[in-house]
Amino acid sequence: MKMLTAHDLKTGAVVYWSGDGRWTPRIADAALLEDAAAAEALKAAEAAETVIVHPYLVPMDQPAAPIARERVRELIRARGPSTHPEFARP
Amino acid sequence: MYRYDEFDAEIVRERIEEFRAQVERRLKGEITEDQFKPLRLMNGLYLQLHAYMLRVAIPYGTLSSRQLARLARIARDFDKGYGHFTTRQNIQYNWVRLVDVVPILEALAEVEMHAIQTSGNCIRNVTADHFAAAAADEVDDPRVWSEIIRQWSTFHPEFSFLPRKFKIAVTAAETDRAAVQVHDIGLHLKKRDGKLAFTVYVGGGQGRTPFVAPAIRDDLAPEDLLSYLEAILRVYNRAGRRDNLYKSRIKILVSALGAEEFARQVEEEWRLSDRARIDLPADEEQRIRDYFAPPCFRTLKDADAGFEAARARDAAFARWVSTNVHSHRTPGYASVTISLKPVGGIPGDATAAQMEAVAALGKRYSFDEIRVSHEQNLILPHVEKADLHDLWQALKENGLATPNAGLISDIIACPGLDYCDLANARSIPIAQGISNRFADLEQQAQIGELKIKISGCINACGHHHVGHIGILGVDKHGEEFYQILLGGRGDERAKLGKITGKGLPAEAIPDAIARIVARYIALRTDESERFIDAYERLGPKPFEEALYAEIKELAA
Amino acid sequence: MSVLLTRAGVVRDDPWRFLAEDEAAADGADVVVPFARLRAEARLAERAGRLGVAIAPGDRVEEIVDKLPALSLIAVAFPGFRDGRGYSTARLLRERYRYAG
Ligand code: HEM
Ligand code: SF4
Repeated sequence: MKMLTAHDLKTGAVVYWSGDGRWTPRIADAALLEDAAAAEALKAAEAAETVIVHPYLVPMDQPAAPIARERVRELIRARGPSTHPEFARP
Repeated sequence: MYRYDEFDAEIVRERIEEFRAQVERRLKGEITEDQFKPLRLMNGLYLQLHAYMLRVAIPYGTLSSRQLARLARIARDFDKGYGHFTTRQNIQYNWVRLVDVVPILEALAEVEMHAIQTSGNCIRNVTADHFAAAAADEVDDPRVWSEIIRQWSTFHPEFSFLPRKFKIAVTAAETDRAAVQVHDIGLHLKKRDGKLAFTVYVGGGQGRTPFVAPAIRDDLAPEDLLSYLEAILRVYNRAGRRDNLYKSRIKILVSALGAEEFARQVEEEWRLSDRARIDLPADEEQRIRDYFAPPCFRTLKDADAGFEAARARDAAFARWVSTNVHSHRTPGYASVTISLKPVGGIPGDATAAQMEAVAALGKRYSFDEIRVSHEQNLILPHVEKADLHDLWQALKENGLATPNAGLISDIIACPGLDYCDLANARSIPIAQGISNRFADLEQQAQIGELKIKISGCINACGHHHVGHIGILGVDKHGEEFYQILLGGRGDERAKLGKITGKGLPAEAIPDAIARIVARYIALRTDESERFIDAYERLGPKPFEEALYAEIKELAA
Repeated sequence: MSVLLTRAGVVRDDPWRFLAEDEAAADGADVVVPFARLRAEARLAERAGRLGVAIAPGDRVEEIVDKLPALSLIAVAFPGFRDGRGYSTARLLRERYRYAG
């Protein structure tokens, strides 16, 4: 399973593909995609140049749970710097 | 202080207009991200883990109060209220929106600052000794030469697309506080037979293949500086590798050719060059030197009775003086390190309010001058001793009076995995863990000088290769691990640290450091023998043993 | 100096013909030869027609200094904008070897 993530072009904020046509700031709302659907979503995201920047896929084992080498990195990306709990996102 | 002349200001304004148009085209979809990325990088704008990051150059680390106040305002208006001072004497804003970058660049340009050449394969921001023009052991003001280099290298038509980024550092004091030997070019100005001469180090660097630079020349006349730099850069521009990113720095060329052969090629190139056309005429050097004329110091006795009385009366003040106040070459004055390393804090971060406070204090007590040190602290270079107690109190109110300059909690840490897209592991929480472990300032003072430097990956932005104790974050199957290095130093006797055995998890680091420190305390001849001296006397063995000893042993 | 490059890295001027490694230089034609050929073929300059050279980033102009007076055109190639070696070549040609072609 995969999740599609990117940054909002104008603000740089981390966003996730919700699967229903929206980009959401919450990793909990990210769609879990099968490989084929994920590849397709990535392709569409790459074409959405005026909305987002640097889209890529993250391997997942369950909702909001990146796996493998990306784990720590993606969790920090989802929540905000671990050194600033006051900026933490849900 | 140097002020940009009309020429600079004009170019900076043009660049902003150019970038405004580029951003607009990017937002409208007229150019793709692939086309836009090199353009934004040319203006210091990176995309990091959480957001865009803007890197602003602070040439040779010198700021006026007005400039620092402006950096504060940008942090407040366009960021989350803070900025991060880096080992490269830059400031990084971590939460910048693309649509705000042009207004930020405009706000910077009003105070003669910009973000040009903070990225890309060009000659980057020149760094220098943060005690320039204040240190007693200095033979000249290194900023004069840094500024000459800055002017020469900015938009240099020949050297804007080098094989890789290029960093130059300058010091003119006996003690090297600018780590010049681990830069692409390190310039160390010294007195030689009564005359000033540069020792020229080439091919130092950190990253995945660290090198301490060999000196290829120790008698370069200052008036020949620019033509000699051109010769070095030309040899590198033509012969440096472009086929492999990891082998493209000048250090790889110098080590492949051997320092001697490299020096020969530089000398040959230099011999053929049209020096008169490149080197700065004496009057032009003088014009630049005039910008750095010393402030109007008052004629004072070196000892100040009020200061001595305060020191005798107030132990906390005395402790701060012993670590954060440094002797000045002018009688009655001192330089002050404003620690950006509060116990358990984030090394190098300053809030907008803190920057504003320091700007005001710099204006009031230090002739309107503030410096940024590569050790991620701020400096007030010229403070009257009589004012030190008042200054200290004002700093205390702003959480800026931690008495730890040069001590174990004065840690250099890169942004690491909390911000950086390239990171393997977090750096800042490791620094915080160590700082908290040694929260007792009395104990820190007893340990004495000990420089810990932490990087979140092999790129070594946190100088871990030259920390007395270096810490490198690595990725081990998706977990953060930390490799410890011992015995590095970044001063005039630069050495790379030795990598010890296997990496440790984050939780184990503070205790591991404590074991090394305990071993040092047990083995040092007396308090005057610093950690690095003891290490050099005894070698790595006892410290490595301590590092990998059981945690239980330590408690005993 | 004549760096006649278009965006695609090709000289636009029509009369000039860029020769490949093995293409004969016709008498009377204005030709631009690769750097290696200029060094190897001693008689190129004796033909009728103008002569030029194409300098790639890795070519060292020092090696053709004796031929500069015979050259009517030097094309310094920038195959990728990140490769700045051509700037050193151009500067050497202009300043050190006073090529004003
Ligand atoms: C967050 C964005 C950053 C990125 C993408 C980045 C990238 C890099 C890379 C790729 C290298 C290795 C260069 C090489 O080995 O050739 C490097 C080295 C270095 N960087 Fe950074 N860095 C960042 C932040 C910083 C910060 C915050 C500092 C200062 C605290 C810094 C200072 C340095 C230094 C001192 C070196 C080692 C010297 C050298 O080899 O150039 N960098 N950086
Ligand atoms: S050392 Fe690595 S983790 Fe740290 S700032 Fe540099 S690139 Fe990022």
